[in-house]
Amino acid sequence: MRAYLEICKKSFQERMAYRGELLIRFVGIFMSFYLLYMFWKALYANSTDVQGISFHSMITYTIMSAIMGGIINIFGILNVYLAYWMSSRVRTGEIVMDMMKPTDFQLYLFSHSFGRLLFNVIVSVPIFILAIFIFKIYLPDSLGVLALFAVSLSMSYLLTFLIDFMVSLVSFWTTQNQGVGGFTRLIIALLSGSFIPLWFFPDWARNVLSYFPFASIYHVPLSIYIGKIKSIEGLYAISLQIIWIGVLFAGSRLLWLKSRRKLMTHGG
Amino acid sequence: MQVIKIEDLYKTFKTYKRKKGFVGSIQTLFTKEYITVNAVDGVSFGINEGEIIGYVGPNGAGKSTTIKMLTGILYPTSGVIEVCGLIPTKDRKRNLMHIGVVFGQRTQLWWDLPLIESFELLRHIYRVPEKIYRDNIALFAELLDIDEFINTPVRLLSLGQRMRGDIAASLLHNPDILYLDEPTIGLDVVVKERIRQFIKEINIERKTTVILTTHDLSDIEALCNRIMIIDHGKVIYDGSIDEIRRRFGTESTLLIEFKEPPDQLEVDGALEIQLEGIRASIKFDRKRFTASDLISEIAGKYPVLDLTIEDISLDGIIRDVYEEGKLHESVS
Ligand SMILES: Nc1ncnc2c1ncn2[C@@H]1O[C@H](COP(=O)(O)OP(=O)(O)OP(=O)(O)O)[C@@H](O)[C@H]1O
Ligand SMILES: [Mg+2]
Repeated sequence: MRAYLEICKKSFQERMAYRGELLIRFVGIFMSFYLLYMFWKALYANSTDVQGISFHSMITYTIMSAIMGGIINIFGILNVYLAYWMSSRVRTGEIVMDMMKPTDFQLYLFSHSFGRLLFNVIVSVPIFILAIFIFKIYLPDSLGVLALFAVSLSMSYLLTFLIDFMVSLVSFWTTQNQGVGGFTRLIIALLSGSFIPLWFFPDWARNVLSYFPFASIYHVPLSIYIGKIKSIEGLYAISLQIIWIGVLFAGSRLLWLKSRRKLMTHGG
Repeated sequence: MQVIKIEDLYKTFKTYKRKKGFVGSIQTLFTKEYITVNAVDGVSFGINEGEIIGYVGPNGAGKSTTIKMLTGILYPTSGVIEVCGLIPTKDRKRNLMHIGVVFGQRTQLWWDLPLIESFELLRHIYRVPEKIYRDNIALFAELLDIDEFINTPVRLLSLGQRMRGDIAASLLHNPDILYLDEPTIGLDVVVKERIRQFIKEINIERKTTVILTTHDLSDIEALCNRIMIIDHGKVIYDGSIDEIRRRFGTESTLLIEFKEPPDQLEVDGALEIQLEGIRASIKFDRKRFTASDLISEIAGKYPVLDLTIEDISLDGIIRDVYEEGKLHESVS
């Protein structure tokens, strides 16, 4: 266990080596926030309320979504996401050095990822505070809601990691996962509620989506944050997240056992 | 005691044939044509505790593939591997706990962090007791001078420093077996010598079994008591260096300096003669003539000032063995 903790620490330290780049990233991040703001402003031009959601709530939702993306590693605002990293390591053969460690490979990667997560969380604090002032995003109604959001966000992170891990393993079979990786990210972007909240989707589409884990990644924590999903309903949504984690975890272990045999190491 | 046992080991790689151009790449999607490469093609050997084995062969012979299977990263297509009684792919973690691996062209060190941080991490991963860890760091400082750059981020290290760091890293947990895949690639003579001394020392002190892959045969000469030559996935020689010299290295060269340049030089039993002014080099087969036969013959005919005998280099011998291997192949 200690070993994984240390990996996590080193991974965090490694990120710190690049803290000099942060300022320029911040500029890019706030520019993207501004674009999102303008986009929703245009859509809300003639109404104060769409589907029971005020402009104010919508902006909070969308900017929190962008901040979340930076934290849980999926759109790589601050990060290279796992699947990309892995496919390049498989292609160059560098993966050999990772697999050579007497550790559980999935936990090894998780510890890596978790160290980066910690870094992302810290970096996101000033972004969040600035966003409160610039875009007037609001805080949750109560500490209880904030706590629920934090739990749900942690679950989102685990889900993202598991999906990312499985996509990564595709490179063991084909040495390439860019196609699958890009496709997955597109699907998640569209169907998780990260850009367009799911309540804007037609009923049938939301029905179909309830059979997939995507909504659990963005839609659930963000809806909890803005108060669209409340107390019991929130707990229910979080249990669904946990179930998805269980399913994906089992799937990823199975896929890992199969993929290990498939690895074709490249180079020297 | 045998620590490594390999029997009838095969590894076949399949690569899909890629056709050129856009249409070709579409076709690739629908056809399942592939090329198979027998990277390791029926290899068997045993290695005893404390041996230093030179595992050599031309590029693409299957050396790295063998090592990757020994570490349990690659699954054999068929055959048996046992390392200290464990099957590397089955007992992956346990096997990795007591081996050390260096791939000279890669690094296991954290690129952006000071060298010491990687060591600290490995200490926890391998659960190295505090005392052993400290003793080892001291030993590596003494023998490899790593203390000079232990606090430098790895990305700023020179190749030689990084390699010393990687070798130290692979030995922090006192492994029973050390796999070194081209650990001296691209290093200057001084660092090379350092590393050789170090490997020798570790081998003697700790009885560490070492499997060394290299294209620099002077590494092998300096370190190994046994050499295995592999080509096209097959072991074509397995034995001592002395033996290989005796069998293949029977060609010697006699270098002579005369008092005055002879008009022409005739020597019975010479394979090849080169004469340039007062200097001559004469190749001969030691199996058929002794050097003293040749010398007395020449000294009887010409006034000799100075002479030296050169044995064929190990490089030359190995080249002959590779070529002979190719010969067999084209016949069979
Ligand atoms: N992942 C792979 N897919 C297809 N072929 C491979 C793969 N890995 C290795 N090979 C092939 O297997 C053969 C053996 O490769 P290997 O890396 O073991 O050689 P080597 O003896 O280490 O050579 P070198 O001295 O150049 O390092 C080569 O023909 C190589 O092209
Ligand atoms: Mg090699």
